[in-house]
Parts: sequence; C-alpha cells; structure tokens
Amino acid sequence: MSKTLIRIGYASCGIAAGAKDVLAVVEKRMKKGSRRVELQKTGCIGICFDEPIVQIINEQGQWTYRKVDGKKMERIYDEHVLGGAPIYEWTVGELSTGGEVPDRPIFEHQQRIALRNTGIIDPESLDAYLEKQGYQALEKVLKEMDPDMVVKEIMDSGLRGRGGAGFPTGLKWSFCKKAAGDRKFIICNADEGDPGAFMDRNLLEGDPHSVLEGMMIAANTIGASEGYIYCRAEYPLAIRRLKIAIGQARERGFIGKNIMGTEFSFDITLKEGAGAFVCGEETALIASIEGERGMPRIRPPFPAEAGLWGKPTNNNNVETYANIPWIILNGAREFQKFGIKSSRGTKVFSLAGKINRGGLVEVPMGTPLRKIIFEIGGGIPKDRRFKAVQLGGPSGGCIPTQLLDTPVDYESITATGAIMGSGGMVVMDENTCMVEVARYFLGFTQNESCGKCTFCRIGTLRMLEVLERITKGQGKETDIDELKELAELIRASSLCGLGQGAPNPVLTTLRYFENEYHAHIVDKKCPAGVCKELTTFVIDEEVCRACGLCKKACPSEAIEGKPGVKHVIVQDRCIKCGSCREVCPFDAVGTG
Amino acid sequence: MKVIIDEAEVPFEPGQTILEAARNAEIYIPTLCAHKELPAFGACRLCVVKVDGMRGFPPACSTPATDGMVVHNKDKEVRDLRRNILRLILIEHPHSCIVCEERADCEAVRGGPVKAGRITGCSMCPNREICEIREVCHYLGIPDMEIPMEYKNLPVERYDPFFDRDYNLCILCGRCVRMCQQIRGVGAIAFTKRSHNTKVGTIFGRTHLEGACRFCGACIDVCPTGALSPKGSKWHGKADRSIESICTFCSLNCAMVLEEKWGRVMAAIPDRSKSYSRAYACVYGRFCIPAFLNGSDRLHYPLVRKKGRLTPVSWEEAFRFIGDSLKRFAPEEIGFLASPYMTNESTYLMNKLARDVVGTRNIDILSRFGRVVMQYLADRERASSAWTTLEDVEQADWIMLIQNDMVFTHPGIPVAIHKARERGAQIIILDDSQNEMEGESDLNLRIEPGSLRTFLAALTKLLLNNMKVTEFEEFVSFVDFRRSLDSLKMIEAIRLTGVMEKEFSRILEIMRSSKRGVLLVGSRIMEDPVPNQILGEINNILTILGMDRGFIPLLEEGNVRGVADSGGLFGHRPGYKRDRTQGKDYLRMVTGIRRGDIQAIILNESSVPPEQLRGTKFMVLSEIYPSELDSMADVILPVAAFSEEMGHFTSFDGRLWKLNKAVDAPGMSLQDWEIFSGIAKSIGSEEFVYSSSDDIWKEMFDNIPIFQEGNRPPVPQRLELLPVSEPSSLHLSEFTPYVVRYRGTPIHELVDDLRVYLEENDRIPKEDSDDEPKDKVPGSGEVV
Amino acid sequence: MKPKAKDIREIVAPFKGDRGVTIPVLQAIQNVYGYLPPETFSIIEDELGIPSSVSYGVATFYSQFRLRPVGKHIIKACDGTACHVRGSQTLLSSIKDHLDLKDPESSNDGLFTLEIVACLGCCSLAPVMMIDDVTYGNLTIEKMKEIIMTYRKGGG
Repeated sequence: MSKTLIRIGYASCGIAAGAKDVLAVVEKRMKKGSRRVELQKTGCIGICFDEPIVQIINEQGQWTYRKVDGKKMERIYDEHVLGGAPIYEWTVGELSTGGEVPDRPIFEHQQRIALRNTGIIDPESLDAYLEKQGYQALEKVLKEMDPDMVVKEIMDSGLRGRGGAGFPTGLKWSFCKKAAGDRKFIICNADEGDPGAFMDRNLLEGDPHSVLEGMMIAANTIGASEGYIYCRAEYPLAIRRLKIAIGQARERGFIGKNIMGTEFSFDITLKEGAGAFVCGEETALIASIEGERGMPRIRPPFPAEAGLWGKPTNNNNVETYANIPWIILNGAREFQKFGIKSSRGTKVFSLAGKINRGGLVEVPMGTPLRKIIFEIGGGIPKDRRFKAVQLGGPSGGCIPTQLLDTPVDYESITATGAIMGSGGMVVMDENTCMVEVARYFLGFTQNESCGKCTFCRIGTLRMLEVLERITKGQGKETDIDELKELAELIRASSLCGLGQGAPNPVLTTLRYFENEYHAHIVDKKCPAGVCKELTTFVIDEEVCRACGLCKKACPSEAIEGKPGVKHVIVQDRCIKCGSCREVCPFDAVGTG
Repeated sequence: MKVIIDEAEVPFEPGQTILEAARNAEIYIPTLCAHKELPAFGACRLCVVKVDGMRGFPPACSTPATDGMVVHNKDKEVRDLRRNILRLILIEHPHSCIVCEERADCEAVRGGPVKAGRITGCSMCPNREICEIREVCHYLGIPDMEIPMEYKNLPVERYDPFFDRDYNLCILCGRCVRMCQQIRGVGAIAFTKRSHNTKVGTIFGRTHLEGACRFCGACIDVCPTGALSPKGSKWHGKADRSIESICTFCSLNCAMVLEEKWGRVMAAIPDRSKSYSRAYACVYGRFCIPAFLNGSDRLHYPLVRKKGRLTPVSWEEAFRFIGDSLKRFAPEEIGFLASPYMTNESTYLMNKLARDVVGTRNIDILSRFGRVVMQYLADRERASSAWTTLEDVEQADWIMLIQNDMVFTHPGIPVAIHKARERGAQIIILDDSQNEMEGESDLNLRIEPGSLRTFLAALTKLLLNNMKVTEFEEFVSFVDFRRSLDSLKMIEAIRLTGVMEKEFSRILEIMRSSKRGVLLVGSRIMEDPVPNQILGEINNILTILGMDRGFIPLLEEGNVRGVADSGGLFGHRPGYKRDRTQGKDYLRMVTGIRRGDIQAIILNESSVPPEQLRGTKFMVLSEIYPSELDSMADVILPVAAFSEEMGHFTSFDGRLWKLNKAVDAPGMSLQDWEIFSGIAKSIGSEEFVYSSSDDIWKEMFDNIPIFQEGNRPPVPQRLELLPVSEPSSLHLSEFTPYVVRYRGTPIHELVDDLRVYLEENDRIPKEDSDDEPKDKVPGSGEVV
Repeated sequence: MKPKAKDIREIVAPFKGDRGVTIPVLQAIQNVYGYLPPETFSIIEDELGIPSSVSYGVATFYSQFRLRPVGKHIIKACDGTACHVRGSQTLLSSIKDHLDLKDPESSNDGLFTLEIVACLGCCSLAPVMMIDDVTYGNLTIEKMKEIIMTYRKGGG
C-alpha cells in the first residue's frame, strides 16, 4: 500500500479548538511504527467552526474530517489510516474526494487567490511553498520584467489596498518609485487590529512565504532594500512562523545580497507590535517602528515621500502582498476576471459572530452579502432572525437586513455607511442590541485613541458618555441630535482614520436602527434584551418544557424549577446576562 | 507664488504651509498647537480652513500652499467648525474666567490675577493676561457651553524648583513636549498614557529634579495656557515695561526681554523676536536674573575704611580718598584687574585710566580660562577675528567636545548640538570624566586623566599618515614638530590614553569626512599645568585638517571677549594693538603682591582668592554684593549690574550686543565707566569728559575697526606647527569645576532654586540639610 | 524572578547603537520578568541614551506593557466584537468572580493576572480566552472554570 498523508490544521484556531490533542494521538500512533504514514501540519483551511480539521490523503482520495478530538482521531487512525475504511459521517464535503460524504457547499462560491496555499501546504516548509510555484513570481520580476512593467501589471490588475481604504496598489507603488531618495523602505502592515478580523493571522500562519514574496516584488519595484513586517504581538504563532519563513528564505538566498544572482538585495526585519489599535494607521505604525508612541503624524508629507526615518516608504497590508505573486504569475487579465466595476479580484472575509459556519472565506469582489452570510456561512444559529452585519471594525458600520443584497465592492459598501475595511464580518441577530454595539465600538475607539487630536480624545469620549447614558436608561431626547452633531464634527476633521471613522458605528446604527435608540430613550426598553438596566427576562410558561438547561447555565442561581416543573426567574437575583435565553432550545425565554 | 486667503493675495516660499503664508502676511488663523518655533503637529485642529478643490477641512498648519490656491479662512462653515472645536477644547480646560458674564467688570476691579481665586475657580490660572485660548475665544466668539467642564482633578505639581505645573489647565497641544524633545534635545517630559488619560509628564510622575530637566523654561515660554508657570513671577501679572537687553551670565549673551515692574526686574524672558536667544536661553537667564539682581544685600553706598572700619561716604569723598592714596605709589606698583562682566565701554576707560593716566601696564582680565585662551590667541593675532558661531555648530558635520561641562556652564550650546545631530552630524566626546552629553554622542572617548596631550599628539600623528607633508614644510618649527612625532610610539599612546586603536580609526574617519567640523574646548583643559600646550596641539590638528574655522573655546564669563577686545588683556590695547611696554600679567601681579612689587590693586569684582591679594597696601574693590574680599579692601564701591547700565558686550563668537538699562541701580551705585572717570579726575586727568556710555562707544567705534559691525578680519592662515609633547601621564593641577557667576558671586548663592538644581546634579557640594534656611532670598527664586 | 539592575543591563546591552529600539528593548525586559521593573527606564537611559520619561511615555502608550508584577499565568480574556456579541461580558464577570481578584488585575493567590484584550483573532470560536500562550475557544462558564482549575492544580 502507498503512503498516507495526515494533514492537521494547526493554526491558532485549530490549536484553540484542540488540535494539540489530535496531534499527540497521531504522533503516538506513528511512533508505534508505520513508515507508510506521513504527518503534515498546515495553516487554517478556513472552516474554523469545524476545527480541529484533519485530512487523510492517499491513493484512494482525500477525506476531510471535522471537529476531530483525541478519541475520534484514534478511531480515524485505526480504521481509516491503517484500515483503509473512511468514517463518512465525520467528514466534510467538497474538500473530500473519495466515496460518499455529506456535501456542504462552503467552497462552492469561493475563489482562492490570497488563500491559495493556506491550509494546504505546510507553512513551516519552504519546499512546500516552492512546490506551489513559490518565488517564481519574484524570479520573473527580477529576470524578465523591469519595475515599470511591474507597476503597470499591478495597475492593470485593478488591485486595491486590502487593508481597508482601497487605494490602488499600483498607483501607490508608482508614487514611492518616483520619490527621490537614496534609501527606501517597504512595510507590511500585519497589525490586524479590527476586533472580529483574522484574515491576516490566518494568512501569516498558513502561507507566510507568499507575503514575503509580495514584499520583495514591491521592494524591487520601488527600489527599496529594507523591509519591515509590523505584526501584532497577540499573534504569537504568526510571529513564530514568520520568523521561520524569514530564516528559511535567508538561508536559501531569497533574502539577502544579490538575490537570484541579480542586483537586487533585500532584508526583512520583523517588528512586534505592543498593543495599540491606532498603529494600523500607517503614520502611527511608522512612528511605532521608529520606537515612539504610535501617534499618527500629519500628512503631507505622505509616507511615499517621507515615511520611515523620513525616507520614501511603501506600506501595504498582508493580504495585498499575498495577491502580488499570483498576479505576476497569472497576469493582470486573469485577476481582472474576478470582481466587478472598480473592485477587482477577490477579498478575504472572516465570518464571525452569530453565524453557523464562522471562518475564513475568499470570494470574488461583488459577491452579495446575503450569499456570504447565508450560503457560505450557513445563516444564523437556531434560525434566529438576522439583524445586521458589522463590516470594517471600529471604523465601519452595521448593514441591516434590507441591504443584504449589497455586493461587496468598495463603493457599494461605502454607500451603506460602512466601509470594506480589512474584511472582518461580524453577524448580529435579533438578540444583539444595536445601541450597545455602538457603545461597544465607541468604548473601543476611545480606549484606543492616541490622545493627540481634540476630536478623538474629547469628542469620542463625549459620544461614549451619551451612549452609556442611553444604554443605562438615562437617555434624553436631545441625545440623538447631540450624537449626530458630534459624529459629523469628528468625521469632518479628525487627524487620522481612527478618528474620522470612529463615528461610523454610531451613524450607521442611527441610520438603520434609530427606533432602537428611541426604545431605549423613550420607552426605557432594550428590545434585544442586552442593556441590563432596561431588561427583564421572563420564561414563557407555555413554551417551557422544564428541561433545566437554563437553570444549569445561570451564573447567579436565579432560576428555580425542577424537572417537570416549569422554571421561573427570580428577578432580584437575575444579573441579566442572557445566558438562559442563549441556551434555551425552545425559545421560551423572552424579555418582558 | 501666491495663495489667495479670503481674497487677499499672499506670497509664499515653496514648501511653506498655508499657516506660514498667512503669518507672513499677518493674517490671523487661530491655532493652539502650532507654534512658529516648532514642527507642525496637527493636534488641536483649530486651524482648519476650506480650500477650493480639496475635500473636507484641511488644517492650515500642515497643508502646503500651492500657487493660486484659494483658501477660505473666514467662511461661516469654517467659523462654525472652529467654534465647535473650541467648545470641545473648553470641556477639558477650566474656562469660568472666559464665559463669566461678570468678566469685564470683575477684571477691571480686580486688576491683576490673585492667588486666592482657587475657590471660585475663575482666577486660579496665573496666565490670564497672556492666555492664547482667550485670544482664540476673542477671535471666534465664545461658544455655548452646554456640556459641563470636566475638571481633571490632578494635583498641582509644585515640588520642583523654578516652575509649577497645573495639568488641569493643560490642553495637550504638545508644544512643551516638542520643545523639550525635538528642539532642546532633553526629553525631560513626554506624553504618557493614552486616550483621554493622556497627560504630559515624567516617569512615574517623579519630579523634574530627579529627571533629565535642565530647567531652561522653554516649555513655559511656548505653553498657550497657564499650565506651566514660573514660580518667581507667575503672580506679578503684566510688566510695566519690557526692555530688550541680554543675559550676561555666560559668553553666549542671549537676547532677553527684561520685564520691569515696581522698579525692579521681575522676569527675564528670551527675546522671541531674535532667533539667537529663543533657541539658546537657559536656566540662568530664564529664571535667575530677578532673584540674583534683587537680593537684599546689594551694596548701596561707597565705603571707605576709616580707622579700620568701613564707613559710608559720598562719591566725592571716595574718589578723593582713592586719588590721594594712589599718588603714594609708583605707576608700576599699581595693578588693574578687569571684571569679565564689564561692558566694552567701561573696559575701554579702565584701559585708558591704567595705561594713559596712571601709566601702568599691569592690567589683565579676571578669568581663569578666558584669560589664558584670549592671551594665547591675541599673541598669535587670532583674537580679533570672527570665530565659529553656534549657527556653524548647527550646520557642522562633526563636533568634538573636549573637556567641558557645557550642560552646566553653557546650557544653550547643547541645543545647537542637538540640532546638528538631528541633521546627521557625528558627535564625539573626548573627556577624562563623565560627560552629561553622553546621551547625545556617537563616539564617547573616555581618556585616562592626564593623557589629553598624548591623545592629541597621537591623533596628530595618525592624521598625518598617508598625507603629503610637503605643504607644511615651510611652517614655523616644522622640523621639530616632525621629530617630536617620529619619536611618538602609538603603542605607548594607546596604553596611556586607554583609547583603542579602532576608536582612533573611527575618529579619523569622522574628522576626515568633512572640513565642517567644530571643536568645543572647555575649561577643564586647565587641569594641564601648561594649557597652552593643549591649545597648540589643537591648533596643529586644525592646521593639518586644513580647517580655517572650527575652534570654539567655551569662554565662561559674560564679556571675556569684549574685555579682551577693549584693552583689558595684558599686553594689548583696545583692538589688540600690541603694547610692548613692560608690565605684569595676572600671575605676575599675584607674585608681585607677595614680593611687594605690587602695592595697590584696583579690581572690579570679587572672584580673586583672598590669599592672592594678601599683602597689598591699597585695594579698591567695586562689586555688587559683599564678599570675602571686603575685609581686605580699603575702598568698596557699589557698581551697577547689567540690568542697570548701558553699553556693549561681545559674545564668545565676536558678535556685539547692546545692553539696555531696565531699572535704576540700587542706592548710589554707579557704572564702572563712571567710577573710572571719577578716579581719573581725582588724580588730575582732564580727559575723561564722557557724559554717557554712548560717548565712549562713539570714540571706540570711530577708532577701532573691530567694533564696527561686520568688520572683523578673517581668521588668518595657520603657519605654525607646535612640537607635540612626549607621551606622559601628567600630574594634574588642582581644579575646581566652573560655577556660573556674575561679578564674582556664584548665581546659586542668591538663587536657592538654582542651588537645589546644582546640588542635585553634584555641581556644587550639598549643604547640610540641618542648616538654617538661607536668608538671602526666601522661597523659590521669588522676588521679595 | 527578582529583577536585578545588572541583569536588566545585560538585556539592554545588545540594543546599543541601533535606532528605533525602545519597543523591542521593553519587550525583551518584559519577556523575562513579565512586567517592566521600575529601574528599567533609568537603565535604558544610561545605556541607550533614551530619556527615561520618553521610554516611560512609550511604555504607558502600549497596552502590552505592564508596570506591576504579574501572576504566574496571564489570562487574556477576549472582548473582540465577535466575542462581545457572543456573551464575553458575562464570561468576563464570571472569570473575575472566580479568580478572587485582589486588585483590578491580579488574583490573591498570585497565580493569575487578568487582562481584557480587544481581539485574539479566533473569532469563529467566540468567546475565547488565552492563558499564557494557549487559546481556549467556544467557552462557557463551566468550561472556563474547568480550565482554570487545571492551572490551579499546576497543569496547563
């Protein structure tokens, strides 16, 4: 019998879900001796909700197992790997090729360019990357193309910055290429700060070399020989894999002097962030690399003219760089085939929140939100009602049900009041309070404000105070006007993107859910049952089946009842956390 | 190129921002964080404007002007936006003094600010008279304040010398931080924390005294609010008069505005209209002038010793007594010792009195380091030239600091060095002990004490390697020079100096890289028993490098150079005309006193150690404060201080500065030149007919070319190479570090806050804490 | 480990002569001690010429740096958007109750220091927490208690 390959998804999400135990089982079994079995750790394939993922690949085909744990792995190893009998009921469709497996159309609507290798190759092996045409784009650029051709190719592809603002990448490169300077720098922004976004983490954990290659192509194009990757410290695994990748590339001559025998020399330094959301803003990021407080700087001068250490600097985000080698190898025209209008290619989104199949998806630009959330993401758990999807993190906004057919392209998303952002999509259902969501984001922005400019330091704090008042039931009717007024001010003239975008969560929730604000202010009720001061939970006796789940889940022992006896919430012990409502299988818990 | 601001065409230079263009045309754009001495910051957002063809509201402080750009500064939208911004700013800033309806009446009645206002909250700010927020409110109109002010409730920080900090008034414009970090290169303060918890502060909120602060006060001068305020003058309100003058505590002579109120100098503030001063002014000039000049011990009357007791007399009697006494001595038995804080005019008259009336050549400057340097240079005809300036330092490619304590002796110079370093200059420190500038150095050479000569000799030898020497062969003493170098063994030099070979190569690389280098030489070279040897070897190095400029001796006292220029230096009449008649310089006068060759001494400051004067038969001492010489003096004359006289000073680089009288001198004090005129008359001279210092200046100006502005000769070509000394580890002379003083009195003796600062930094010995508090000036440099 | 000036000096030394090192040098010191001992800043000033107030300003800007000693284990409870909408607030208050915190951060037994972080990037497994370098997902209050128990017993 030929070799069997066992692939374990070993990114942060996989590990968090228990991939370690699975790995231990495999390693233990392998020690017993079977030369026909090979083990490979990969990044995340994107179906994070199903982690830990294990793939078994042999001559017969490929099977992908979901939600594997130690016990399951023992059986898979014994029955499938050794015994040749796949356990169909544990597998996922589409990623499996042999035999009858239940089909789940997760990948049907996806198109993988940036994520072309994640979850498929061993991210700690340079050879694995080389097998997938790795560093061939760089070779092509160095040996067959001149920098102007590269700029043109990237411009023609229509690639726009994937960090959020959507500035055309080719144009950005051309500015920095034109800038006069004996020294120039390349920066890769891996400070993925939007809560709810993890595209860059998965890319770095799953395919770090593609990012390095993209950076090198950019460096050669603009004439830089030094690069920095600024990665947030909350991603220890991504940092570890980047270090390994940089080490390997250096060892094999992909980084260093006279790369591939050409004039091009390049070195990369990895900088770990230290926990400041504002460092995702490029001038703050530059200040941080220089060892200063990450306070945004005024523009002009723009980094392309005077950035890091006052030298011309090109800064792109992880996903942007990951797209570059693909475009060089396949051509701008291929890339142009995906997407619509002025948004070309694909975009990676991280799906999270109240969604059945949270994870990472890469879809052609222009795919409607509905398709992403309901077809790929499988809709809302327990068939609850969809309320909104939050896009773009703290600078973004909440898009309501009536706009679910909005295609994801830069302009259409901006028209809703949200922004494309880096790709975080947090789905909210009927049990999410939109006023509280706005308060949450303002709290976040205020805490992360660098404190430099008047608006962000004082203005967002005032907005936060108003929102806190409203969620506590102390709102006044004038509050909404005050919020709007402050929001417009802050948006109009804050120093940086963090400040300018800070009012967006408030503005979009006001635009689509003003009734919820009114409910809080006028009726003193939180319709979603989130704001504690405005909520009372009650169990509907008609619906309750006395299963006891809510009683078990209650952290404050506020539920009384026995099997067979309808359960009741004792109001003065209730801390209004909503745990009972979450767990009730019959939707018997409601707000009174 | 022109930009149009509200229909006015405003010219601008390429690279200027809208704000800079507007300022040039005197168009007001409200700002709180922007300041013309600081790099743009973009924090307060008040300067937002509307620009045709641009999105949103760009800030004028950071938007470059372009030709034909149309800017709207008075547009209603702009005005509304600014008012809203102001509204936000006022949420953080106590503003009852601005919005109060009774404001106009209240201020008319109450006049200046009062200390007691903390309870009402409306006059807790010491800065009402010059508050920039008020200025902005005045321009924009006071916004409606619907949102109540949020008082931060921070304790007022009062535990440092010189200034208080009330961060409740701070609006986080960051001017102080930028000034301290970017311009002064100190970094005593920084932004700490973030979001609305952001605060300007120090590490763990410690005092500035424990930190890096040099108390230059530049932060206060740029603060738009009352958050930072000088202890000494904060409650004095607006000055009655402001007089442009200079600080004379060191040889930089920073331009200062002296603020006069109630007949005293209440504050001295760097003259912001002059770039020279606002860049370099320091703790001494910014904070010490009032307390130093207004001490209660200032002399008021001429005193003459009668039957062993000093007795107040009239000037006439004093002069008569001096005249009668001097007649008892032969001219060569009389010596003149010139204070290096005298004006050029007074020195000129002292010279005239000594050389022409009395007829002695025993005249010299009272300055340990300055006297040696000026003599060295004057003897080589290099003293009259224009020297390297601080602007040259700022533009230098490399700077070497040799044996100096500039952070305490010349605190302004590190500012120039920081600017140079920001531009990319390499800084080398050459010192035998810890140097405060180490944090700003690229190469720190700690040499063994006593090995400076050897180091310089070795450096000379290395510099000459691989160099054609033919061009030097004609130089004076070249053969001896060459021979002395040949016998120098590098291995020996490395052993003696403790400087590694690779450090030598690094320093060579730096020095050869550019002729735009500067050597700043401090008074600690005086540890060498023959400091001229050091000066000579430095001269060798400049000669070999082909640098005609680049030497800056850190002259200490305020007018050493001017006094030397004006005839105070031994062997040199005004303008460095050689006086070859025999006489005694300072050291010979001291020996002369011991031997009895010198019988009478006329000196006008108290910096001489008493033991050196013991044995004089007759001593005339002019001073401003009593001193330990008083017991030896036969006549003590009260002299005017620099704020009380007119005249000229010459700074270390040869520039002329004008002193302007701000206040009357206490009691009967006279200016030096008046005293010299009186003495001259008392011994029968009719030539001293000057009615003002201007008269003297006119005579000097007409007759001596170096006093005509811009008429100093270029530095002459160097044609001499001094044989280097043999490698040796010298036994050093005893040397006490220089302490900044005026007319012989250390500044800290009258300014307790300065004493605290200098003690903390080990510049002066700590007093026992049990001591009774000093009775000279109570509190913190506050004027009584 | 009790911080010694000499040891901190050794950590700082390799950074001499490089620019932009303030953050890496602080990270290096915190990696050893779990926090920044107070003498850190004056040592950095002496060795690297960065004024202590400036490095302190940097340390207090970034949420990663701690100025107080920490417990044996650091619990990072995520309050990212996804965790927030999936009940991280309730979980968080349970963790606080469960840990018996003596000050806002550290537990009485010196075992744990609790930090609230903005996002750990494991949003599909929300709510999430991280103990030292291990991430735990799909948490319930029960599960959280079990996990913390294993650390109390010396596991983890």
